[in-house]
Amino acid sequence: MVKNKEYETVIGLEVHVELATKSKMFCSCSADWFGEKPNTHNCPVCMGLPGALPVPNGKAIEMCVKVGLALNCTVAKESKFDRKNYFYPDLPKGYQISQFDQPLSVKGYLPLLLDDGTVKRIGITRIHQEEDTGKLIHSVVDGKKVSLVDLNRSGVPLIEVVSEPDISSPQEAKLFLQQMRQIVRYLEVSDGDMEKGSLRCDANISLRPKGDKKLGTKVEIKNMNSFRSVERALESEIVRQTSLLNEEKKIVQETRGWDEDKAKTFSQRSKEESSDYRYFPEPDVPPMLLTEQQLTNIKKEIPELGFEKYTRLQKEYGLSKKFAAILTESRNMAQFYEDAVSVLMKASKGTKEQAGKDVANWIVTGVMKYLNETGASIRELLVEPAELIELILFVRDGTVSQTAGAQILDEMLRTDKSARYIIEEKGLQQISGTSELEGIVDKVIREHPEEVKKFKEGKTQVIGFLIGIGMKESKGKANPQVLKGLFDKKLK
Amino acid sequence: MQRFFTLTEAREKLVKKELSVTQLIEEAVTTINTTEKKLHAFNTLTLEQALEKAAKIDRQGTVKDIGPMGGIPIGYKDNFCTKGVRTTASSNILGNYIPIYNATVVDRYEKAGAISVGKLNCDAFAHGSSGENSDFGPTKNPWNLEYVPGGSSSGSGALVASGGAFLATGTDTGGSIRLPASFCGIVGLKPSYGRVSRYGIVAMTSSTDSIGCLTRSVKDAALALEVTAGKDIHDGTTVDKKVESYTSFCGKPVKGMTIGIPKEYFVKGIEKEVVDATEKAIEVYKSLGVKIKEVSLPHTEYATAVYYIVTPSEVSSNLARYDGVRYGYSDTEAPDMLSRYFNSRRDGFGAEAKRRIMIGTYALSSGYYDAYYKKAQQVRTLVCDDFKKAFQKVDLLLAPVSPTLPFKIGEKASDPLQMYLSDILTIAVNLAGVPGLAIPCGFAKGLPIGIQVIAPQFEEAKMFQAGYAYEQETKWHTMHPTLGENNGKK
Amino acid sequence: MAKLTKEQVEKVAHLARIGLTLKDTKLFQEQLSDILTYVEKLNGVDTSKVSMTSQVTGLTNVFREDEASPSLSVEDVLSNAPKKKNNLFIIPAVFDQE
Ligand SMILES: [Mg+2]
Ligand SMILES: [Zn+2]
Repeated sequence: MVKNKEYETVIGLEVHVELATKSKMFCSCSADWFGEKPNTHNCPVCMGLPGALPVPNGKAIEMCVKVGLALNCTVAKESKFDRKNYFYPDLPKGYQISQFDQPLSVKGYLPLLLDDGTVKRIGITRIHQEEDTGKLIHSVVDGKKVSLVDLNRSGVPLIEVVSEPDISSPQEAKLFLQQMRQIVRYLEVSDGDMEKGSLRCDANISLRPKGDKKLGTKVEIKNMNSFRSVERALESEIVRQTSLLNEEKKIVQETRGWDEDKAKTFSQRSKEESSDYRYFPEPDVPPMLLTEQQLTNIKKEIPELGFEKYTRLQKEYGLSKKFAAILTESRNMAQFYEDAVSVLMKASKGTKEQAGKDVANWIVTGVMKYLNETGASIRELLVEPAELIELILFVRDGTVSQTAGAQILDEMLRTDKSARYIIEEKGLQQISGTSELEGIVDKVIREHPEEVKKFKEGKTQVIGFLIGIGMKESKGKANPQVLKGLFDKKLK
Repeated sequence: MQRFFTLTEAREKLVKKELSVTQLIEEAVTTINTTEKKLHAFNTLTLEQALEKAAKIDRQGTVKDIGPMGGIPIGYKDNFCTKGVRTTASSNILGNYIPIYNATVVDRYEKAGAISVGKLNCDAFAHGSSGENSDFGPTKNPWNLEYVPGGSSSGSGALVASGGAFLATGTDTGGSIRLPASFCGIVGLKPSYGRVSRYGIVAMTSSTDSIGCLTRSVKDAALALEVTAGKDIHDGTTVDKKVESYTSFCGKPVKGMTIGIPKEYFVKGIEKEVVDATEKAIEVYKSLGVKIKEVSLPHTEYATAVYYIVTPSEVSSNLARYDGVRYGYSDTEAPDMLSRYFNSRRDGFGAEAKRRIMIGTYALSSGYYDAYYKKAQQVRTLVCDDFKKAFQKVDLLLAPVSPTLPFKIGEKASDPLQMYLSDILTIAVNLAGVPGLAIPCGFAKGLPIGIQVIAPQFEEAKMFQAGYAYEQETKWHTMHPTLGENNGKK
Repeated sequence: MAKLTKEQVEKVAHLARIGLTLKDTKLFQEQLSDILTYVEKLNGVDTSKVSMTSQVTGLTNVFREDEASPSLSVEDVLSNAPKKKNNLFIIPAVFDQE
């Protein structure tokens, strides 16, 4: 019997991103097609009428170049469009205007942040500009199975990002896509929504015996509509290919679809019947020449990206990798965080690190918890950075306890009331006077003889428990430091 | 007879109110009604609408206020999209197609006040040199009904020569305006590529399609270019260069100009009558004080081969949209999508369209691209360079339009390659994107002969200047066919 | 050039989505071969140092402003449809293969 070998996975991704322009790629129909009534976003150009001609949207090209720069690519000085010829009923002209041998960007990389906090560079082969197709709807008309053609999406600007086969697991593939989404959102060139199809992904996957240099036969997987389905489809494909290899069967080079319900990939077409796209230069669109000046101008518009922020936040505020990743997930979140830190720095003494860590704690434990629970986005937040700082200062100066502070923040997030208002309304000022707290301490000692006994026997760590009970008794208002002092004194 | 005015003459009479628009259009209608049975110049007639429009203009006031083409009858080649009026490109696959928008050029003519008499027959999708490739049957040459009028703008040539209109639009992708102009004894203008918008004109070869017209005088063509030329935001390949007053160059002296005679254009097999007529034209220019110089365009012999790769390649892509899904002929009973494609395109396209789609698909397909398409576009560069070099030495070029006289209907129909060689003297101009003006220069065996004046890119003005000077010295443009009635000239 | 085989012509016709009769296939074998033989004369030109010309205007960077303007009415969009229902074009059922 042949001993089963160990295989390693090689994955390359092709990611299509729909750009958030106002108008389509080659005509002035609105690009905002999602959820609109069928065939209401069309003109002679995007429905491929005889005689219609394409005129490219300069903004879309600028956006494509931005993504290229953000992914550390070399942007082409000279670029052009080509026709990709194939027949499909959602493709009105019988060709897609795309780019073949002179894409706008080549040879870049995405610094992929892995779950363990390490960074792996995933090569970017190319990024090119193209146009989207219409959509087919499958239906039954007069008892017959038919397809229906809706051209609203036809001609919406797309960019295609092709990665090198540097991805070695389904988890990495998922992270790559998530970080692609983060980049296009930071750049504000797309909403990056997989559910809406604004971000789409095809994957090329092959296996090879561990240590081999030669790549195995690759299979292309299509129709994965969520981050999770990308991960699942690739996992299932690895299982399929591994068992074929173990049985010494050949892997067929083909395109396979992903069936979400059956959790299986299925064969769509093999290489032999794959298309011959007959690319040639698009005669209707003059070539593009990008000057240094134009490139510089586009560069200026690129904000600090998530990954750069992630690195800087760790350095500047001494944040953990985990916190830095959470706080830079979106541009708005990072903005909120840094605005809050700077307000705090102005309002109090202390180092940048202290301020940074303090604010980070409040956001990750308070604000993020609220956002996760409600599904709201940071942009919809009712609390301003300065309002959060007001609360933090109340906690710092002992006006309210840490515990009460958490409650107050929650209330602020839900009601748009200020911290000061909530404190007054609910009487949450911290009680620090020994006389007011003595009664509570006495009651706790009386009601917990067991713990008191342990303490006296030398197990001093039990004091934490007693303070906790005391805090509860005070409805969170007691100053825990003062409580501790009283317990120490009374139990000596 | 009014019908043989030039556009310029008719306009003068309209402006002076010696003639009403209605009278002029009625004359056109009468002419067309008698000639159409013999010529088959039209796919669709819009004579009633034309009369209505004429009456409206007459009611509303003066032609002058309307525009430079106010009240002038015009025919549109049937590959120009006309909103609400059937546009077929003479092809079955668009047999019932009603555009929902106008070509930019149609809009510009309408705005200038022109009145359409209908849509003109042509080779289907403008693929052809004789008009015989129309899916609706050939147009006849008004000078001899047994002969072809030249193509692909065959209906345009026949209409203007027979007096049904002063002006007809055409498209010239490899000679499709100049050839019918030459075969019909009229003027044909092929502007520089990029000078006139292609928007709304059924695409054939996107990189060489030039939008022009056929007229009865050089000045008329100059006026038509003034009306149609200029940047169009819907066509990214139109240039933003100033549109000159081309008509004002008609009448400027040509003394001191240098005209080059490309020696390669006197090809093997060129007919003696054509050479003789061209030499006489050269003598006329000499008498006007023009310097004549022999020049060489060494890659001319390759132009046809380049063209018959580039054209089918672009055609195979441009005709992919006729898929039976959104418009056009469709086998709606086909059981599956693949059959819908196969059947719709099999029955909707004529033989020549299919032939070009097949050649182009082959030339672009994987493994052949470098040998055919890339090679052709490289040789095209050399063809372009030939013109650039020649124009460093001369102002204009002069050559015959066709190596032969018009040929008989059916004579070349069974041999596509022989048919392709009819364009041998017109194609290089298209590949280089330079303008050309066909002008009648004589007759032989009762059939017209034409020369072409070729100018550097975007220097149409000079071309009109030289064309007009020649025209004034000759009588050819004043000769009119009688459609076989007394087999002679006026 | 060698004459195109029946299979080659059929393959091209499939790519171009043109249904051919047996007669068409035979005729195209002849005619396509003639034309392709004729264009072989280009091989006589040395193009080793020559770039391609696919456009002749010299234009570059022709772009549109990113502004949306109204689209056609759905009636216009569907006005030439061979088969339609509920503002959609109807075609035979298409699955995820070509
Ligand atoms: Mg793509
Ligand atoms: Zn549109």
